[in-house]
Amino acid sequence: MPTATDTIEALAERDYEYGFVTDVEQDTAPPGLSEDIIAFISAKKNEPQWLLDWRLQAYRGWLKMVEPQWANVRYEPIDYQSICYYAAPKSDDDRPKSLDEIDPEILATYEKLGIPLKEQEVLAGVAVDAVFDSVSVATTFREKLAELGVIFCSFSEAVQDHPELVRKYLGTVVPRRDNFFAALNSAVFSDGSFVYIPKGVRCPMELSTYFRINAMNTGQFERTLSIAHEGSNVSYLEGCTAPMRDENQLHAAVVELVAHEDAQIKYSTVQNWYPGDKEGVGGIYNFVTKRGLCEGRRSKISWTQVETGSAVTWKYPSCILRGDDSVGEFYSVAVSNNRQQADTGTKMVHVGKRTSSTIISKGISAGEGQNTYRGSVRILRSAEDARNFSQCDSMLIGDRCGAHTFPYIDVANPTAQMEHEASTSKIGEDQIFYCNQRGIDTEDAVSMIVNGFCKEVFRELPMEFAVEAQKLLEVSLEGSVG
Amino acid sequence: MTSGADTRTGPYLELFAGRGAGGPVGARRQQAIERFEAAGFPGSRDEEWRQTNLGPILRARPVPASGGALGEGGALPFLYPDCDRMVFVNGRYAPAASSPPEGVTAFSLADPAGAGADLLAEHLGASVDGRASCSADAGVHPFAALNTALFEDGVALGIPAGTALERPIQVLWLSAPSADAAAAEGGAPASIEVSFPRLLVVAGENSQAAVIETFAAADPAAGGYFVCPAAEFVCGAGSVVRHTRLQADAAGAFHLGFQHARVDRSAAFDSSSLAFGGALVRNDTVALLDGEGADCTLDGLYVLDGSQFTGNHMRVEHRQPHTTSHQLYKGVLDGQARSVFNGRIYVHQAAQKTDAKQTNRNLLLSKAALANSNPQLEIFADDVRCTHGSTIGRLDEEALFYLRARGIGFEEAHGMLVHAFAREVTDKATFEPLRRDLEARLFASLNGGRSNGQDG
Repeated sequence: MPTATDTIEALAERDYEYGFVTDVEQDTAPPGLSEDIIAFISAKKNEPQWLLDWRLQAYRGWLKMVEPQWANVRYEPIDYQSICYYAAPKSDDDRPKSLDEIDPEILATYEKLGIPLKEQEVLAGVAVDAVFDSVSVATTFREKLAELGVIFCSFSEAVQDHPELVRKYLGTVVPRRDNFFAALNSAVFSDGSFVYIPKGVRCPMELSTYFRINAMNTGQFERTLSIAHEGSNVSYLEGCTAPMRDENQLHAAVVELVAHEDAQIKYSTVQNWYPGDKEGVGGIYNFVTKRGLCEGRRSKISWTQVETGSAVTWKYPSCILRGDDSVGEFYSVAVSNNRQQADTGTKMVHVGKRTSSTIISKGISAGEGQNTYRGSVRILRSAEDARNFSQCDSMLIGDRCGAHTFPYIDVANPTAQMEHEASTSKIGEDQIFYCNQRGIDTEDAVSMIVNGFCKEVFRELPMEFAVEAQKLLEVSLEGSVG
Repeated sequence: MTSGADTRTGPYLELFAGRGAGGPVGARRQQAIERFEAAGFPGSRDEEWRQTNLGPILRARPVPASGGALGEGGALPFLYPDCDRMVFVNGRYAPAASSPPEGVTAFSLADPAGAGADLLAEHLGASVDGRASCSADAGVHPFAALNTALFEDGVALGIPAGTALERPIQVLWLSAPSADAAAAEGGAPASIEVSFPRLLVVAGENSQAAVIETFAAADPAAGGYFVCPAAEFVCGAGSVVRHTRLQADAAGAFHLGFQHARVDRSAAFDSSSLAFGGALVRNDTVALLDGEGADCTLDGLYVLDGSQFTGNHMRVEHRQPHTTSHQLYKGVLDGQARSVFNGRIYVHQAAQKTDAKQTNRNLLLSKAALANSNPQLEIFADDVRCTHGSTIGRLDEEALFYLRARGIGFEEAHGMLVHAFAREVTDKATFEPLRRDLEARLFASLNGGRSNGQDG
């Protein structure tokens, strides 16, 4: 039965059918956001009508929302009408011709991280045709995955090739009007990755290696959707330890994970976007919505993140533990140096029986950085025998930085057991002295102590990235002591 | 501001209009009511208040608590032996039942004169209305402002420098609502009797005092009254102030309390808050550690059943180096009770060598009970030790099994464990009659019965 609201909605939805100026030949959309622009993006990507409708619904929801102010970060107001929401990937002519044209400071960082020369070129965005053998490597991977029925492709490809899957799952974990930035992303998302692991398949490789070579230029509004079917298992690494060359200041990504019965998803992130200069000018704003749904029984979602970049980070990878006996994990290291600000944490919502979650968060503040842990653990009435353990430790280096902890704990079931612990400390002078005495200089000593502090999280990372992450931490904290 | 808010604040502004703003604190009262008018009542979007449903209070029309009709000896059940006492009924001083302490400036705020007026003019409301709220933005605490504007009577205690009081001072705030309000049934009564108890303690340098505040109802079955107390503590250098706040209001009562302490160099402020009664209870505490070596201990216990709600919000600010603070809040929740713990430790950049600890433990005894715990740290200094911990759970099955294996029945074993859990807080009371009373109350509320807390 049509209600008044339905009629209004129908009317509201009708008007975009006409009068859109859509110039498909154009490479870049003019700055600003409107239904025309969204139609332009959608047309550019050759999307089906339902996806355009979906985007427009998100946009209309976004118009009614106000930018959240509750996060413990300060930044200049963002003018959403001055942002360009679509830009085609750069053509080879615009790119730097060789590494000589790249900022030597970035190169120095690559050097410290021990990244191979060829890979440096890719990361720096140098126009290289057939960079070593990345194409063939990628193809080999793809064939191997296809054999097992694993779908791993860009989001745009998924929309074309597997529309039924995208349509079924898109927005089921992060609804399009979930929050201000998620709504913005839903309206204008550029690209991202799509992962589908069929029943009972254990993905034979870390999807990271492949990703690192392939998923460049996904733009500032990334959309990732991962579905792990019954009994499957996948490990996925996004991002990169190397600083990324990027001109877009605002990043608002959405990541959705769905784990069915007995499925396991491990999602690791290493984020090292440009944090701005020492005064914090020009850094990237990273406003991300990441959420996983443990849909089936005994499913497991594990988030691991190492956040060292961005001027402002606003990110709460969450788990909704709906299936009985499902497990959620969150391991995080967040570093804020100079003028960086990070407001990050997690949300664990226990719905199913015997669900359990673990939160290990390590915040490191140096310089004038501000680091906030904001987490929520909710144990609903239905969650019999739920279990949570949270530990949030902060380390302060220098006397001008700040560490903040805001956990929210709501328990509505007496059989639940939940523990939260947090501590704040600094690197002890006696610890440094001890190291100095044994011939370890202060910088190395600090790095050693910090690595020890973060060990519990690094342990969760895929091995090669754990090594890089340690180095990354050293680079990020360089010069903050002494 | 919406018109809805106007209809809610309106009756309170009228109360003020009827009262006038004279006396030594007239200007402060005027300022407070203006602040309250500007801020209005907090809404559900207000971080500090979003978990507190003020609806039942705000829907009712406030009328000043009347009467003071208390039979002879009516206060006796609540009084402790071996201490000086000041008794207030419905927010007004009852001299007949009181025996004010000697050697301290103690008087009723309604008619202060001489030295007392100076004390009031200097301290009353000076700290409360400035940075009063527990929230990060330190806005106006609406109920503290209301108290400053509307209190009729109260206690101001001036403890001279170098004096150590031997006996504790008990301040009894007794509510005896008139029969009409108590008789109202079916949700919130149309009108509600409201009182605004006010306490000011100014401890001089190197002085020592213990103050016990008791909030209670003459008739435990009474309902439909609203107590909105505010207390201020100014702890001079080297002073030691021990404060106990026993809240044993009637089951249907509303209680929104606010307390504020400023702790100077090497002074210690120790406050325990024990909440047993009331339908809707808030206890907001702000402690400022404002001198080197200042120390503060905030402990609390809430034992709830039925549909009781208790919120404990506190903010401890470390403003100077070498300051220490400890918080231990424990809750036992049964029935459909709900509790909120919202504690924030704020360490300023100057406050190096801070040592702060915050602990909140909740025991859920029923399926319908709900505990919210938000322990928060904000730290701007690097050489500090700050920890917080929070747990919510039920009784340890193994401990229960241990006791039962030794032939102790389930009920009894259960009772023993809950009792042991709660006694960590009550055992901290050093004044023997108080400790015994707390234990009796704990026992009574854990066993579902009511105790009037009489103690020999």
